[in-house]
Amino acid sequence: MKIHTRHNILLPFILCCSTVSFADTGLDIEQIQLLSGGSGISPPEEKLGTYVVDSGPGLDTGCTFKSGGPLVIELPVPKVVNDSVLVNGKIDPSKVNELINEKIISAKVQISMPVFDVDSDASVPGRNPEIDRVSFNGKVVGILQGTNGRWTETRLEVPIEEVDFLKPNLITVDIDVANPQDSWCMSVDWVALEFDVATPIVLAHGINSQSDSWDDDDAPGVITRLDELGVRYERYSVGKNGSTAGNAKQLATHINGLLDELKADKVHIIAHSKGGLDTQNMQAQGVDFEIESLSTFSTPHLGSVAADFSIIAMEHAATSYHPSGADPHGYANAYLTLPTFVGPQLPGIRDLTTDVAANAVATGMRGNIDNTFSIGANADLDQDGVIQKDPDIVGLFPYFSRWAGVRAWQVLRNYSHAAYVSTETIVVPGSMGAGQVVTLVTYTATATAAQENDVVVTLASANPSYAQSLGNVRANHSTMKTRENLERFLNKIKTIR
Amino acid sequence: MINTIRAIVSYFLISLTASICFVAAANNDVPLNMSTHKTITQAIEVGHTQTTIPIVIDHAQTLALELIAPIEGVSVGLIKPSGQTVINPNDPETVIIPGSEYQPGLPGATVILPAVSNPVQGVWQIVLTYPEATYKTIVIAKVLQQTSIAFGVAMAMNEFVVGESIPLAALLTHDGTGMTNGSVMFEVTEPSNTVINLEAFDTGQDIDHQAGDGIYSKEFMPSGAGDHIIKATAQVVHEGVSVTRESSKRITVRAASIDINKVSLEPVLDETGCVLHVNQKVELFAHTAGEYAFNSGIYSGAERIREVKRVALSQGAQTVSILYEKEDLVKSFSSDAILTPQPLYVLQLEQNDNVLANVRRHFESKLALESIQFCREAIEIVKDLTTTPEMSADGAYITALTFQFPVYVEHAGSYTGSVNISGVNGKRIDLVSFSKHLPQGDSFFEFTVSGEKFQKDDGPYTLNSLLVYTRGHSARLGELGHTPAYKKEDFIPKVNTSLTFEMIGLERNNWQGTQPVIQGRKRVGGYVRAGASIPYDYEVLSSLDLSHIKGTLIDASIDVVVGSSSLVTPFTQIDVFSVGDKAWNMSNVSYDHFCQSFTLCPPWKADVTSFNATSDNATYTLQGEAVLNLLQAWIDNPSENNGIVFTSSPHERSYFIEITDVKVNLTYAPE
Repeated sequence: MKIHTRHNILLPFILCCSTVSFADTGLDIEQIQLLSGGSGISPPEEKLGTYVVDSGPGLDTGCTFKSGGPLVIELPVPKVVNDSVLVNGKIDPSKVNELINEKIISAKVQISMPVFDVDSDASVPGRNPEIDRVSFNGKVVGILQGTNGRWTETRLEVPIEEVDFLKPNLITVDIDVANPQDSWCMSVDWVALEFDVATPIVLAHGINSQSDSWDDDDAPGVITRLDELGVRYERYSVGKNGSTAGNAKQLATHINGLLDELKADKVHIIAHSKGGLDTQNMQAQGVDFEIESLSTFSTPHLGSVAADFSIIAMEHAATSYHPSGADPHGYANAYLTLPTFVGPQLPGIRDLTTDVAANAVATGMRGNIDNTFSIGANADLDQDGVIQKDPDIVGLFPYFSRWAGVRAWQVLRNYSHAAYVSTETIVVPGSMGAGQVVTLVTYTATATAAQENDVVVTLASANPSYAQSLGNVRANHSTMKTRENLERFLNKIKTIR
Repeated sequence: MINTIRAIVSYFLISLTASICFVAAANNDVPLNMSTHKTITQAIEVGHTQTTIPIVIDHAQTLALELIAPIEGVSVGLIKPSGQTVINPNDPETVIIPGSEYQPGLPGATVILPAVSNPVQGVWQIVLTYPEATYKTIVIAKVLQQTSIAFGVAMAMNEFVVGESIPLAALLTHDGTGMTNGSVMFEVTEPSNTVINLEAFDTGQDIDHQAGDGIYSKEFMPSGAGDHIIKATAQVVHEGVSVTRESSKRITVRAASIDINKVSLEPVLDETGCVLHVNQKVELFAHTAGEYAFNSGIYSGAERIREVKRVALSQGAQTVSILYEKEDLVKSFSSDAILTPQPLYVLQLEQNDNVLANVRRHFESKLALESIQFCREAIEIVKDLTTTPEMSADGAYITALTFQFPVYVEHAGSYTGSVNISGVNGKRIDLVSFSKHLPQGDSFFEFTVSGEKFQKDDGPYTLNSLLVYTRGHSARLGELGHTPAYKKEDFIPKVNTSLTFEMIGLERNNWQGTQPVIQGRKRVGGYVRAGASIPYDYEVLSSLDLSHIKGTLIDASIDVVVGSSSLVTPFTQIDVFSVGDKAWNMSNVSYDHFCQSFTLCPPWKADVTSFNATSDNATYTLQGEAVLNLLQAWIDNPSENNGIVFTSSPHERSYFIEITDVKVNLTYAPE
């Protein structure tokens, strides 16, 4: 709006030469000054895929002429995709189409910026209209469009592959490039980059495991597939045999760190075994983010009778034999604390029991995530009703203890019996306007059947009524973590976006 | 240990006779362990060489035994009640896993005996033999039975707070069906080792929720905090045999760490009386300071919102607010919903455990959404774009597009907006700014964009990056909408013109002469060129220069005027070909320019159309897509030599018809 002939003589000239413009806008100089100080246009709230710079160099400069430019604005964008698709901080051009097709990220990034007083349609003899050229990381992406004396929002687009996810992105405004001298001034209030990007995924490991249980040795193709997909994912180690409550706290801390980095407030969790229980416990403890989905590889949602037996044995051993002097050398105790299925220990294993499961389900501490998907597994690969050490147990137990796997599968299938009862919560009227809440149970006859299982978890427990089962696979508790099974979850996760 | 039967006159039991209400809560099935396993131990003393372990079998389909025998050289046999050996100590099917396989190694072995089918009722004996024991230890037998009569403690919860009544329950089944003819007793061992015996019933009365489902229930009111062991024993006569089953469960009763005194639902309003959120206000007294998670929710029928509020409580009276945002309320409930809070389940969050913190009580509080003022935003843009074209006076093109979209504003005043318009190929059409004084309430914005702007790109045009603002308030919308699929030429004023083709006649008569004769007379007829055995052929070549025309054709037609015919009409079909070859002009063209032999000439690029000259001395108009495309191609690829050849093959040298004039009529949008 303001034509300038000499530096630093802004006001007189505005008054002199922009009478028509003032008349057009109905603004006086005070209003102009007031307006140029800030657009009053709220920037979008920062979230995953929306990043804003609202202060700092290049912003809120009042009204800057060519000689005061260019305006250089820095806007960092966090690493919303994984490292394997980045080259020097930008998305590998050879992979970008795949990412777009998989809807991991949008093809374009919208650059929004409220700009003040961009006289792109000005018609003043001897002066060209105002052309303010915008570059993104050194490449020209367009010019600002605006109106005399007003804040308008310019929106430009750049290909996603131009975004730097490691270094701050530079938005440069070359002011008034069509005129050799200072003629028009302008300013920028804030800049936002907006694009669509997939919610990050966190992998949660099971009991007696750490984050390396997702390596190719134990989970063939899982990491490779996530790398290929390009989605930002992380895997964290929490307590190897920790309680769900303790692990939930650790997991929440890790996830908060990730989401803070990405400015995100949602996460998908893909969990193996007890990782699914840790996740639901985390939800019950209250978190600041939304668990958009929970996908579980053979999580014992409804507990595991195998864990019941282990707990009974461990507690029995701990309280009865060794301390009583009946087994002074502790030999029986040593045998008992070799778990029924090798590895899992207290306190974590307690949370795998049917007792804890019943309590958690009845009180809503499990089944508390709306999009829960599940896959169970049957270790009897040839479905002959008999399990073999090899191949059925391979990958789950070390060679010397595969007998324990065979035994656990047999016990779970043929010698354990889990019944399922319905709960109903009732309120019995009481005093002072408060009734007592009681959870009662009822039973509906159910034909007993062999409890098919993956050596650790039965299919019934892996697929509770509150989860959407994506089917069962022939594998044991460990070998079910495959690329193919992951794909089932990914297909569901995609539909949530 | 004192064994007593405590008479429980609980307020709960009495209350059950009053009305009860059901609370919306997740109604998931919970698991019960119904296994009938037993673990039996027997001591091994120094000097022993044999140990016998008796086991009682009453009703089983299969018996499996697993022993831990931490003594070297052990062998295990099994003797049935009649004294007959069922498994002898050297049975090859017995699996022995030496303890030496472990790291570090252990003495003795784990011994797994082969399963025994249909074990008879009575006392069986497991017999272990081994070299003289040199140390004291124990042998542990795990007895696994596959049995159709199963029994398990059927209590969903395993932790309670002092003051809560505990619904003891156990399930007895046969082949998965509840057994109602059993007798079930609970033996509750309190922390003080006081034992309380209670008989349970499956009558559907009092605490028993449903009669005849196999669940036997009894209410128990604990006298204090601590672990309680619930042992349930069922006895049932099945097929004449008395069968006993046992199951146990440990429950923890805690002192409440918080007392909840009141829960209410109330709206939280802004200064204008509009609801911001609904507050589930929890008034409580915390006995223990710490971190707590309030698991709750609100519901109305099947609709509900689940919420977990995490809060650090100090010791003493305080209030916790669980907030339900306006947006979530609108999304989750119908407008006539009456909200009720779900019972609070509060967890005290410890380092490695979550502990039930409160007596679960339900406070009557309801909130009708209809009673709340759900005010609207200061500026609400309605994504309902309408586009109205304004036509030129002659109706030939669009001079402007007028856009309109609804908007709601909370306060009357001057509002300003801007929106980007882009074409189908992403080309920016315009950034439009508009201002309007809007009255409070529903209104609309309207603005008009000149048609010239749309000449840059085809539609549909997208209106995006909409911004509407006034002092202190603004609203943004990523995409407002699309226009219909206009073409850029729809916005360009049309030009009408008529042009006349230059024409020459091409003739070959018999084999006379190597060059065809270029006749002043323009006629078509004779024989077809290709495959003609008698080379009499008359053709008309017409040429048109369109190089001065720039733009997009809207409409085009070619008028062909035919003259006299050598035949009694109707004449035969006249074919129209386009000439792809441009390397000729009207001054040097020859008959063979387009064809070096009597074959169909490739440069006669393609059929354009055909028509029957049903009358001589008449005008025939050629039009349609083929004509339009041909002429547009000539415009797009300027040349002075755009040719059309007219031919006909009545297969007789004396059959021909004259073509006297060819004109083209064009309507186009100039660039």
